[in-house]
Amino acid sequence: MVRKGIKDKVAIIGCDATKYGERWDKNQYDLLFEAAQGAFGDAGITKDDIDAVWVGIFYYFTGLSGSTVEDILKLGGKPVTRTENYCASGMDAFRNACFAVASGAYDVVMACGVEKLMDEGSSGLPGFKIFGHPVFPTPSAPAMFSMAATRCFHEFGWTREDLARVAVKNHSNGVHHPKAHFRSEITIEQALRAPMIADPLGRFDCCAKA
Amino acid sequence: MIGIKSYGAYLPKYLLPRKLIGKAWDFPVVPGTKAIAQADEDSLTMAVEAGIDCLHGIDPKSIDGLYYATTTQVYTEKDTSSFIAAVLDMRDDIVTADFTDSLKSGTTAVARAVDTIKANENISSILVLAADSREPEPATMWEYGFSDAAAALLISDDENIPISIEDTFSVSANITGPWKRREKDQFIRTFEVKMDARFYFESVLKVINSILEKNNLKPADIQHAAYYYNNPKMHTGISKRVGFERGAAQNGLFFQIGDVGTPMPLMLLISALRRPDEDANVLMVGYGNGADAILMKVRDRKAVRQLGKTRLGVNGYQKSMKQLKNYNVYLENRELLEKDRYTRKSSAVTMWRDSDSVLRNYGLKCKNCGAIQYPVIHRSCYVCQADDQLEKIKLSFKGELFTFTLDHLVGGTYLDTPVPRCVIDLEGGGRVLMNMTEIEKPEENVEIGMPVELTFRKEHEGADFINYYWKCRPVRGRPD
Repeated sequence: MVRKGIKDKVAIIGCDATKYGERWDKNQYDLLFEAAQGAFGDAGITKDDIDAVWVGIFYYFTGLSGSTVEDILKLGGKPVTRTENYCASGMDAFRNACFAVASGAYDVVMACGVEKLMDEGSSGLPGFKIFGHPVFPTPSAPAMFSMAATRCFHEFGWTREDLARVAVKNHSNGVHHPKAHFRSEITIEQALRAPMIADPLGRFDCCAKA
Repeated sequence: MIGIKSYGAYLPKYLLPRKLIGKAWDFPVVPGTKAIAQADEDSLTMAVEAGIDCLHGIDPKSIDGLYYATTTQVYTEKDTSSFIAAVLDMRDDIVTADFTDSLKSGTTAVARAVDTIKANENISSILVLAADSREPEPATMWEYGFSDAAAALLISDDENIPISIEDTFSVSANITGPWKRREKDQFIRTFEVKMDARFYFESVLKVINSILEKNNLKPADIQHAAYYYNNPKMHTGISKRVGFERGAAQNGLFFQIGDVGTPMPLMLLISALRRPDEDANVLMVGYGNGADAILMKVRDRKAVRQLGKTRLGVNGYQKSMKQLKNYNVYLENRELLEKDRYTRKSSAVTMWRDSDSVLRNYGLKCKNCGAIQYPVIHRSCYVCQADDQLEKIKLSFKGELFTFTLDHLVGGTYLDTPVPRCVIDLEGGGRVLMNMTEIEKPEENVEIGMPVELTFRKEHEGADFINYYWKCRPVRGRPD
């Protein structure tokens, strides 16, 4: 098999994102509409110029199919594909949209992703009651990743302070970004003092629900 | 010769000091402690533990039956003996039965096991398990007594039996109390405890005197007597009125462990068998709507003492028990406090299909490279990627922590929050993800490399079905 790749075959002509935050006054349709309109504006096109859409959604309460896009954008019957691949669902929407253009099947497509975690009503990431094996233990998402941290600390001598530096850097970047969820600096001490979510990952080591 | 080939016991990790009960309700203080099962335990899980203890070094596939005795069935339709037989990895061409509704059902199961073996050429051994986890009504004197435990006796027809069973005798009595109606009562009721005591003395004295007379024995001929009692006055009362020699009546359990119900006479017997007299005559008596007596004889004192060394038994588990510091923990554990509880879904199909892993603790070994993986759902080796080269292999009940996290987000009760999620490397191979139970201050006490034992527990009761699975616990000393 000859691997040709997609280098120089696809270009991003416009993009946008909503502001990160708790956004209680918006639903998933509002967010999708806002991001899509922004991207169309950025590219200088209208929704009539796109041929197809790929959308990344993980949780069923945000949307079970591509119709989530059609419901709000009213594309008039253009094909919409939903990708679902855990936290990489949005990434995979983008990847497959690129393949569609590279293949020559379409000229202009939109890749988007949407999730409205706040609307489901649970604390932490929802869903552990309803998916996975019914008997084997179901750690929370931070718990799954923190088991790797525990072992790495043990094997490589890393510490919570090493993780805290990542959180401090991320917050520092957020200060300068108007769409960031948190726009204040934190110190290493603050990060270390934060409440535990799943040892050794504290609150600043985990994604905020947005 | 039919007799007891092996025994085992289980006591939960925690003891509730009676002074905490007294303090909680402004009651007169009663001395001692009682054994308290955790929120993830019930009579079934405790019986599994006693079974594991009893079958140490014995192939479960060599046993021809399992009788289970309890007054605290987890289901009223769906038996427990067949479930436990599956968890203990026994064969399926065996006899199983539940003996229930009376506190004497433990001794009844022993007597009926003897009869079953006598009557059937193809049945030569039956594992008898007794377990109870009775619910006393809070703020009543019952609370000082009722406690949780399990015991196991392997009844077998063997040439070299350490303790032979010489005879059994039963009496039946229609008593007025205590009772518990099937659906309408959450707790056990009674009219009059003095009347209950009278019933007790009548049946127990009658069954003891009858079996002694039938076997031409005098009370002084009994070296060890293990009989059910639920308060110390009953214990000394029986001993005096029968006329046992001083020290023959096995004592000590009530003050430390409480009234464990159905397994009580079996546990007293197991305690007595730690240091049996040579050629001792041993009597075990169960009480409840009548009484059973089992007359035994020590045939091989050395072998009996050896059993004590290779099993945790009553004494081994007692050593690692800890006192609760807080009465409320007990209320929460028994779900006597209203609380929003974390539930999951259940699947009868998955529970049945994956029972080799979920219940029997099997993994898969690669015929190509020897790698062991878990659970029994894989088709390809995770090391050499070979397809369809995997065969089932029984995994160890011991291991050490490879990594862990303490989960503050999902699940947990007072005693296990944050929930330790543990990746365990089992002895001999197999890496499994299980929660840890019986761990205090996990922030200080859980660490990579710590040795753990697997213990069978309730995982969750989603969809009103009880999902059981293995957890790990800090070592309580299960022998190698």
